[in-house]
Amino acid sequence: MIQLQKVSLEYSSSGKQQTKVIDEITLHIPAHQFVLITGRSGSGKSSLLSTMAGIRRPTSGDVIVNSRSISKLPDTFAAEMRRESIGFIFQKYHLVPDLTVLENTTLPLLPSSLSQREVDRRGTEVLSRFEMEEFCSRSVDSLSGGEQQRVAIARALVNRPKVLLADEPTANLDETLFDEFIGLLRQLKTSGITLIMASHDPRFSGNTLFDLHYKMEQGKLIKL
Amino acid sequence: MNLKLLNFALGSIRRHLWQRLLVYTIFTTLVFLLISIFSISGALQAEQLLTLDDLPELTVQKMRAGRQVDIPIDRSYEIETIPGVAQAYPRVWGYYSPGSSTANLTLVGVDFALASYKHSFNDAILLIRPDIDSLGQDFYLAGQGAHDLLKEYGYGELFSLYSADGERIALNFAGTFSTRSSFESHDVILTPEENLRKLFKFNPYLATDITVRVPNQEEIETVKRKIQYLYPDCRIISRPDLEAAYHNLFDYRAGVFLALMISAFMSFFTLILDKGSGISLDEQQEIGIMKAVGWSIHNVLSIKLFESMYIALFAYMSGLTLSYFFVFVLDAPVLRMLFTGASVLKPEFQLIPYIDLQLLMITFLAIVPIYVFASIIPAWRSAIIDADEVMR
Repeated sequence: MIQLQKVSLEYSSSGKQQTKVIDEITLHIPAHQFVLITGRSGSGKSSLLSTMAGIRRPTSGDVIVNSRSISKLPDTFAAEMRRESIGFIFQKYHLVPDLTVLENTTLPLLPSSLSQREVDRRGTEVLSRFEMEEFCSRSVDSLSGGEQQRVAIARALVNRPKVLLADEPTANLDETLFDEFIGLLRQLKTSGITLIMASHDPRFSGNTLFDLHYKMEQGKLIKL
Repeated sequence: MNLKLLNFALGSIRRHLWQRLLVYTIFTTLVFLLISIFSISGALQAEQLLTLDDLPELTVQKMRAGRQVDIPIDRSYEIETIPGVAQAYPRVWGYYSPGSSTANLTLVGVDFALASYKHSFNDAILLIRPDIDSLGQDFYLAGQGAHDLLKEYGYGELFSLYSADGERIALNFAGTFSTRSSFESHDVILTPEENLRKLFKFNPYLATDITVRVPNQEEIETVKRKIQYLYPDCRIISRPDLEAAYHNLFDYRAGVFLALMISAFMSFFTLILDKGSGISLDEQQEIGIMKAVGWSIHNVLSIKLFESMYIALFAYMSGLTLSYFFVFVLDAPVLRMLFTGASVLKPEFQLIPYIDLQLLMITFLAIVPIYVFASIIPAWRSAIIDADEVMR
């Protein structure tokens, strides 16, 4: 499903010094797997997920999603592939504050060729999975943290992706919301999606939902 | 074309309403001022062309010590013998301020039995008073502005003028007249020449100046040289000289306004540059989110293009409509006064509505694409950066 071939990522920090965040990672994640990547803050988990999603281009190496090299595709095709195959849940949700719940949810579908009616139908459908359909016309600013998280997840799923990437999705959740999230993951597992989640939340330790568990350390992935 | 993106762009304007409203207002004001000023200037130049159309080819003035003095009438007879000259007309005219007014009326003496030196005056006189021959001597015809001024100063049917030594000349009102160009008739009083001779104490053998009609344009310079040779003490003003003087006056005023407009433009561009040099953090994040969820650079730029086009076109149309309403319906209050000058008796002409496509095109091209580019460039800068970097 997702392959990383000697993927490296370097940031140019202040001055001209280069910081290597991902160091020649080679990885193969088969379809329908639930993968957990742990590691302390700043270890490069988020960067790895962004690189897998094609949001960030690697400095070297290749990211292959569904047998297509996403890192070498021109922007238009990479965007199309991201739109069609990948869903992303951001750590800070990254919702657009002035848009309504439905507008935020359907944002990935706007560049598609779907009609507005179909876009709205899909948005409402995915929101109803999270019991959020009544919030469609509400501004996301007026939602609680848990509700915002559900909108962020709905947005990640609205394009019916094959791969879902989640970056620290439980960082701001209390125990109740955390349990709700675990329930959601169970639902997703039955749907056959591939999940790659980066988290340093200790509440995931020993969780049986995940098929594979990696630890990120100094830019390298270590299989646990 | 993706209608969903068009719709999203409209929504984006609503979401950033105050910010966009500010740009829209500045933009509309600039278009309004620019088109108003050039429309007034254009209408005035059209009026000016009508005035120039009826000017005599040559005007002969006698000079002494660098100042104009009265000219012997018999010189007109001699000038008329020059080949190419159709008519040499000794004019009697002068300025007069009624009552305590500081406004100058232009009093023109006309021999109503003969053809006037000005076709436009002839036509106007005959149009309003075909019975002119039966009116006698003690009457006057007034341009609209002159008539209004006289009414303001209490002169109704009778206009009493006083010469320098106190002699009273009473003239009966015979009607108002107008010409194609209100410039040439607005402040004018036409009266039989004899009345002016009494008022200004003119010697019967003298006139204010002599106008010369030369039908063949090619001969004007030759005739001018011949008159100059005959009368070295005269200054001969040709129509091109007058045309240049009129042009200079209007070009000067248009130039002053152009300078003002350049200042306004500079302010506009500074604003645009300021906008272009950066994009708000919120908008950067929004672009980052769009890219992260599957929008391409092309998609992001499309909505920015739609959004800026909406604002620019709407503001352009608003400015254009406002300026046409202001100039051609309201008759350009204030601005017109600035253009027509500071004379007390300003010509009250109606600005003729017209659409100058070239002007509209130039204004459009000078403003709309610049704003659109200034909106797209910062969005493009944000869009080409990796999405997660923009979202941080």
